[in-house]
Amino acid sequence: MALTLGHHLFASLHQDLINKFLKAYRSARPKYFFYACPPLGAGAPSIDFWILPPLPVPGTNSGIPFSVRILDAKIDLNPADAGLSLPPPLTLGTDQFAILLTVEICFMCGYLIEIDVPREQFLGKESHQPPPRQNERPHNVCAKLSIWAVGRPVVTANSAGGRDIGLHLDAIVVKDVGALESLFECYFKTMVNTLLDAMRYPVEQFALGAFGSLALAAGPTIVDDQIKVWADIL
Amino acid sequence: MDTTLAISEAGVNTVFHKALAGLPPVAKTESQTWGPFFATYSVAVFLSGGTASLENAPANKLDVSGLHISGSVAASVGFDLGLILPTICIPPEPICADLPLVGHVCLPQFCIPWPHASISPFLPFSFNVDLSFGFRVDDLGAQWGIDVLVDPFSPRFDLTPMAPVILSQMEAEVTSKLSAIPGLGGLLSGLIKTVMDAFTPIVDLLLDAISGLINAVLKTLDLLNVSIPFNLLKFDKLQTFIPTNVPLLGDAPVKMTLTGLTASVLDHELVAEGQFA
Amino acid sequence: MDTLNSQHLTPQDGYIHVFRRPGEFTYSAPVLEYDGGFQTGRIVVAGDPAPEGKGQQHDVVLSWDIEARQFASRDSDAATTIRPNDFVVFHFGVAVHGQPPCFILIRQQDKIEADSRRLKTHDVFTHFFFRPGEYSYRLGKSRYQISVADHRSISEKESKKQSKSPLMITVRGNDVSVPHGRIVAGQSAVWFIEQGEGIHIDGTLG
Repeated sequence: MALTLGHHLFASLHQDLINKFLKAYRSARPKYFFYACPPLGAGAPSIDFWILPPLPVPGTNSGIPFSVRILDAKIDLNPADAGLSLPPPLTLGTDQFAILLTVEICFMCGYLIEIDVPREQFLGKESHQPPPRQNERPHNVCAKLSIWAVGRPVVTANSAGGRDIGLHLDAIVVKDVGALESLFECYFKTMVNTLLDAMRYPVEQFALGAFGSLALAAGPTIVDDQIKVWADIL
Repeated sequence: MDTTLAISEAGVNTVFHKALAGLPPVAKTESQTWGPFFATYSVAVFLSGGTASLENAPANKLDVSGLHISGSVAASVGFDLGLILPTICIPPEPICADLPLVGHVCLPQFCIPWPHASISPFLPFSFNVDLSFGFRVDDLGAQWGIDVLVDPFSPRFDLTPMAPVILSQMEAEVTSKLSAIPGLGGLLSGLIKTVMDAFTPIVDLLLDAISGLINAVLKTLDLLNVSIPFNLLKFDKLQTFIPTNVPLLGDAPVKMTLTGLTASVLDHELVAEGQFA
Repeated sequence: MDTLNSQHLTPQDGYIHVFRRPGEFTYSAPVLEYDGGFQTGRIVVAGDPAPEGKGQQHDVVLSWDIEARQFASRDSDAATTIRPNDFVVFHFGVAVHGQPPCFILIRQQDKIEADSRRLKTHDVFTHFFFRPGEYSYRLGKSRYQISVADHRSISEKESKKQSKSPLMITVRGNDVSVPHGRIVAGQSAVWFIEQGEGIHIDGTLG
């Protein structure tokens, strides 16, 4: 059956390529998969890991070093692969993708880094509040989380006057975190959407750069394990 | 397959016409002599138009009907009239006068130095041709190319409309040159006829030579050369999905290698499939 | 416009010399000032003289030999016998590409009988006007003119009629009988030196 459906061009990227792309992204830009406050970071800061400030500890003017590392990421385009079991209420519907992430969060307990909070520090000096006692040796404590999310493809205008195709999460589930579930879901949905936004690219890249500029005519659509677009050659 | 690209016939027409527009004009020059006549002629050729359609596998063909080949011939044709015309001395009858103390003097005649005649006609031409190309994927080193290779063809064109232009220009030139010569009187029209009778058969030879040169020029175009594939589309093997510094300054580019590409015609669409490492 | 210069003869020119005395003469048509002593032909003047003014015309036709790079006469002109008071008309055949102008030198042994560069009494210089234009020429210190009209500016009949009569100019010293001649292309002008020495007609000086 004809693919172009009345347009000049049809282009599709298969789910296998999307997952290869994730690996290539991670390899070229490791910092987008590893966020850490420096004592927890490994390698060159801002290259091998994204520098995070310490996590503030209430009642102190200090924070605990922490890190978030995406250990694994996999995308499944509609229709669902055999073996994909999304936790309710998530379902993989028409024109949707699912993303499965394994995330590791670590704290460096027993190690505090002073944080600059001018108002609190001033009050602390006036009242001679003693610094918190640290009677533990610094040690890392980590936890792994499994994250499932579904979303859809999106189109945004780019700075070159064309259109970028990207992915955006609609719903997310973080399991086995008890009462913290909705907090973590809010947190990680924001984080993953930011990451996905850093991965959008122009419709011309769907046609592997063979055409200088294209006008997006239809799509992106997710179907048959592919992201499909239709365009006209300018 | 990791990626699929399909181009409709309308899309292929757009690609084909962009490729045509990108072709530089081609020209060639040649010279020939036929007896006392010599000619230099330059042919410049330009391709445009045509309607592309696709023939499904197993043929996998791009057919272009009505490709317009237009061009012009800038010719310079000349000859020495002295090599064609007989010696004529004027005045035809001796002019004599009596000079005192000398005698009855008959003055010398003057034998006409026949001039050179040359014309520089500008001769536009155009004709259409129907072509068939086979698709192929070529390894271009740093890129994959979807190329087309033309099937042998015989362009048919008729240059006979150029003949009356050349003849009338030459007749005007010869008439102008000969009528400037005094003393020819009634001989003038006969002399013009003698020259044109000698020149007229040369015009056919000239048109044959021009026709040969047009064919030679066409062959220099990769698009029309049966041995040289013509590139329609190029794909970098190393594809940059996200460039440097996007979205943040300092971000390295994200690249993947296109390790293989196939192309065929299915449902009157050019379908290319690529595999990445 | 034509080149008009009696010192440099071209295929449009003729030079006429009357032989008054008997004798053996040689003639040459040198290109350079120094002719190298080469002779082109012989003229033997002998027998009973013709009545003065009623001499017979003899033609010597010169052609440029490209190989030998010199002017040659026809075989029949190699040796000509004429009577005293006959005249010889020196002129040219069909012009050859690259043909230079020349002058006519007539000698009797070591003596110069005539030199076309220095016209004298009873010598004649002719010029066939091929191209139209306003021709201005010097004769001694004087300047004269010949207006040559384009033959296409008059009817063919008129042009034919005019070409039958040459422009006759009689030269006495530096004076001419027709200071401003008017002819049409295809007509000749004839300068007859009634009296003079070392005369030349020069249309090339500005």
